[in-house]
Amino acid sequence: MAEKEKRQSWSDLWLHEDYWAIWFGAILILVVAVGLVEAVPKIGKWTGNPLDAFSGGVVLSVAALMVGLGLLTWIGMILMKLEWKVYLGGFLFIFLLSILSYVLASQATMKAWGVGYAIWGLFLGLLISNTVGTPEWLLKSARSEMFIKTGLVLLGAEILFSKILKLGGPGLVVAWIVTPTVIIFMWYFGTRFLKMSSKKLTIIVAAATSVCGVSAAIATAAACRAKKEELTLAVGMTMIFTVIMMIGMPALAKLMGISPAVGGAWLGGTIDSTGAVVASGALLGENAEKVAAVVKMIQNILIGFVAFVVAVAWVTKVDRDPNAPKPSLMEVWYRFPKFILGFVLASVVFSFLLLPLLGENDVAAILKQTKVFRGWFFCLAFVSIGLESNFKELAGQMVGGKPIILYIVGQSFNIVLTLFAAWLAFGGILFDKVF
Amino acid sequence: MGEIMEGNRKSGGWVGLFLGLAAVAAFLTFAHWISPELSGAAGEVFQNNMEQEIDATALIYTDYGDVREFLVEDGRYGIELVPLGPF
Repeated sequence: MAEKEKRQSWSDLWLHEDYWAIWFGAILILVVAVGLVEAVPKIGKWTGNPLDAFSGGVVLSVAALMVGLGLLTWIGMILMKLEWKVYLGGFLFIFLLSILSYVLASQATMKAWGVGYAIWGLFLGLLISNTVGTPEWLLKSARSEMFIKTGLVLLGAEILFSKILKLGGPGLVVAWIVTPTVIIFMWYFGTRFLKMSSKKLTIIVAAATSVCGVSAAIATAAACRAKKEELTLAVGMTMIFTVIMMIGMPALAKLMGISPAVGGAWLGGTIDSTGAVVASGALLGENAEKVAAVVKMIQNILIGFVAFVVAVAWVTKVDRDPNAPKPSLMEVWYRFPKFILGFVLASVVFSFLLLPLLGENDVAAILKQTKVFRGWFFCLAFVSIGLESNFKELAGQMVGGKPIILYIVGQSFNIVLTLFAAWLAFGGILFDKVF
Repeated sequence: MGEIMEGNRKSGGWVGLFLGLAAVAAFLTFAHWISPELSGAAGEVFQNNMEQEIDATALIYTDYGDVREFLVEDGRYGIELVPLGPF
């Protein structure tokens, strides 16, 4: 009983990291919404001189951002009674590494190749932890889960449910029928056929492959409380295969002589990253590019659903002792990752409250800035994950190459099924032809 | 100093760190050099990727305005827009 009371304490609201992710997200959305922050700084693109990344007074605003986010999260650390005395020093170091990650990702060729901040953040963190080692004081500030959860709450705001029905039937057929089918296929293939030891890694790779790569991997990993190495592996594989598919898929579509609408839908439903979808879709023409982008965006909306379902499934089924009695609703509530509620709540508030109240342009202006906040939090998270990981543990996740087999088989299934769905939906079979 | 460096398993020390950073610099230099040499479909895709501003995220609102305009045009996908509640 005492245990039960402890589990339901109101103090969780200011002692638990999951709730703090919600508070952080809400505060950051609020400061943008009321105009306290008009522009969240971004690192600029550069070609030959890295200093060009800081042109236009970005240095001061990035420094202000570092101090602001540092103080905000420090207050949370104090109230959560965590290592707040050493936190700020470590946070500043992690933020500087995050800046470096963004600078490296903003180099023109890196941007062209799609080598983003996530990979650079992980690499820099891993480089330090595997060479000179990560100092204890720095590890205490590497709050990767706190950063990820906060980023996910901010991401929730960007998913506008009220737009879903406005996106069109054919796109829904491609994105919403194929995606869950591929996730289920990969889950059974990974757990039953490959007999992968980590069910968490299986679902992360499945979500990353079928939904939208890095963001889906982050959301799913957080929902099932996966190991950092599992997320790292999924993100790394996704980014490598995205580059390959970004070049290969449009070439294949041209070779097969597919119409622009079907080709665009095919690319939108299969390539993991939204940016890569648009880039490769453009190769098939303007119309294909638009269809590809629309299909991808419809698919991206599934991030929230997938994260929610995975969180519930893990609490009620996957992570439960099969011999134990069915958990009560309170038990489910206790074990449920609360930041997922923040993710959903942010989406609902923006979709059904702010959008009708403020209108599309104002909401778009807010999201344009919160999106940058979210990027910084994810970058902080990836640097932290790198600092906490080592290559040996990472290599241990490969276990006979099963994760790569899972990815390749799952992605191949995805490619075939999406082509069929794209032909049905955009080829004039189920709906009138778009183009 | 030795004590606080025990936070994580490590090998290579400072030499390894500097070699890693040197590898990053070499990679960027190589990429910068080879990029203009890429032609054909790969070069075009990379060029597109560099120019577009969409993050790999779940956005309906993006910097890619054309898509938004495209989304709100009814009939283009063979269906009418379906309003949801009062919106």
